[in-house]
Amino acid sequence: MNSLNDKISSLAKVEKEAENLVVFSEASQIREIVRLIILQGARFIHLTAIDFSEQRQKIQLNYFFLLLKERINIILKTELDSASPSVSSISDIIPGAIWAERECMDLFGVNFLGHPDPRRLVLPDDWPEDLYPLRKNFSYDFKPPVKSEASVELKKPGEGRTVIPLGPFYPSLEEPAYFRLIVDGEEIVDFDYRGFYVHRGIEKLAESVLNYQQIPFLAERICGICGFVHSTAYCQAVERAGKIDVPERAKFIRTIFLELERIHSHLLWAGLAAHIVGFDTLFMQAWRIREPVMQLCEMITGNRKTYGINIVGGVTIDILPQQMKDMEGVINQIEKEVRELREIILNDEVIQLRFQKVGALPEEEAKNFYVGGPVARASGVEIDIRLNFPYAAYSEIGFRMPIRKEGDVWARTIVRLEEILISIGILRETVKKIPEGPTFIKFTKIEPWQEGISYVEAPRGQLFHYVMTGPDGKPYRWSVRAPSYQNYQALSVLLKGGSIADAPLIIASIDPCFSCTERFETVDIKSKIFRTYTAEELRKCLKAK
Amino acid sequence: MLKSKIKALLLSSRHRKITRPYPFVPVKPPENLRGKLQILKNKCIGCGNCVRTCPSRLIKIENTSDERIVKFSSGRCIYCGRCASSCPERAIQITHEFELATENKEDLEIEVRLKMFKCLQCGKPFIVENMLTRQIEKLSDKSEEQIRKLMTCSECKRKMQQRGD
Repeated sequence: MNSLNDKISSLAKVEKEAENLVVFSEASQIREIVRLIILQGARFIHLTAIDFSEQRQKIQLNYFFLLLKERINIILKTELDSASPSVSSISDIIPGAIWAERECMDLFGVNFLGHPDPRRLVLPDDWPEDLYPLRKNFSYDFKPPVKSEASVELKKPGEGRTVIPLGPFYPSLEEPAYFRLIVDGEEIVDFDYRGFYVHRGIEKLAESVLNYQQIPFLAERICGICGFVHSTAYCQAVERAGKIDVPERAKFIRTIFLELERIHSHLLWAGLAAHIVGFDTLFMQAWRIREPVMQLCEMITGNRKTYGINIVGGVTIDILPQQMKDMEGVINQIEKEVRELREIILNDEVIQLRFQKVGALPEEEAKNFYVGGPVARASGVEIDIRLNFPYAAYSEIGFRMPIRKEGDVWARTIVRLEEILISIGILRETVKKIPEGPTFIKFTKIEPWQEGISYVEAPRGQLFHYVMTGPDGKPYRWSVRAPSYQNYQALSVLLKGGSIADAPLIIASIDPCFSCTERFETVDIKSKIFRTYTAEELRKCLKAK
Repeated sequence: MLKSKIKALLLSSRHRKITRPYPFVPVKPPENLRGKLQILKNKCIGCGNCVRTCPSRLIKIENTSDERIVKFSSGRCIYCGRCASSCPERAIQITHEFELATENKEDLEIEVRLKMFKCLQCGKPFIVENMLTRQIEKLSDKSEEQIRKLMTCSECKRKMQQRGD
């Protein structure tokens, strides 16, 4: 740690603030400093920008790194001229930064020199040039004119190769994403992705019109399965920035719901994986086993999902003693059934043949792309934010991390099934240790220009939220990096060399979450092709026929 | 191979149909379910706390010449219940009603019309009547002078002070 500090301080200004190490660098030094940080074994987390055009005509780039062992966040900052921001790309040093750089190009107009793939990522194809929605002079409700020549730039297949399109409406997960498999015979040799069709401009909306206590409810709606991780991560980020001490009981309640969510999310995945290989009995049974968890959440919070209990400063509900007892009953039953389910899956020869040695991600590549969650743990990378960087009540709970070395779909299945049982153990311990006390603390004012970083180990991997507080009771910048965002980028490795028949399974094996990845669409697309018809118009059409 | 399949068969044969016959048999919602909003019109004082807390920004306040109108476009409601917990008068209540599908969006609009009280001096409407009633109730000294003070708008009060009344 100190050696890093010494090395960097010769190149840039370094400030230490609690668990954050803030490095201010010149744009020309970026590549050198990034190399130094990576050499120290830091994980690349995200790259995003903050617009300070109104204050000082600058766009501030923020590179986020995490030193796991020392539990230190590194924020590398550099300021670019907002008239023509440009900086050299770091994508060749960190392949996992390709998307983050493309996103900054789209939303802030930052030019990354030497980027290997400078195409659009987030914005729709008919979005006009030179219009950057996350800049502060762009109003959140502005609808720009549609660009007349909308073109889709997609990878062209080489000689003798064919394109197999999967999407734009992805068949087995029923969500919008467009995978183009470039195949040579049966073998996948290259792959292209066009997504972000459900990008809804959530970050822009939050920064423009919502206040601190309204955003948790928007954040929770980022994901349709594990929304609670987003509201928790957001609240923790603001609490860190505003130095708000959350009551212990609130932390334990958050932990309980985070684990309940992991159990139902992993069971949902196990069902889907079985469904994709045609084993529908298991699909139904996995979802049946999952159902009591949903009902338990409904009983305690009033909702099966999107509990709506997280606010900055704690949670809005309390768990009654009777509900704790009911919870124990539910998890005892689930434990028995999950063991049974696991035995069936692991001993099934058809599943073994379909899952083993398919979609392998070597440890080396897993580290290159900084994947997280079960995908990383199945490739032998020891990372679990609950243990590495404890939040909520995890520092008071002991559990182990399941690790597999193979990195294939089979290993990811084993890790996830194992994690359900571990979560049940965590829940038992949490219920035992939960202290009495208030569940919410009132706060008065949050100082502007403070930074808060928060990680949550979501069922899909490492979730990251960043908040910079603003002067008028709302964040100046709120940035979200979902776990699937990193895991997606590793798909190019996973798919290469696989066969077409395995592609849906491989894609599903990272448990992709489309809406998390694409969290922020800016305006409604009003292209020439899509339009909404009123019932009256449809009736007229029918009559004409 | 067969062993695993037999186990799967046993697992599924142990469980009968679990799908509920809803909507033919009604479902009792759980105790904590947050359903449709209900506004107790005579309790609302038009303070606007709910407007500031609603994450969907669906509550609007409009002032006409003699009324304050609080409008809830509850078609956009996310049922978080924040408005109910922010209401100082408990005028907003969360019911258990969840079957809200409708063909007409206006069925979900809720409008609360609150009468404004006119200033005793200048006759300009300046405070919601319910709010005034609450303020009078809270007065420790319920003398006529104090009540008349509350019934005067801030502008007239300032003028009176300047004149030295």
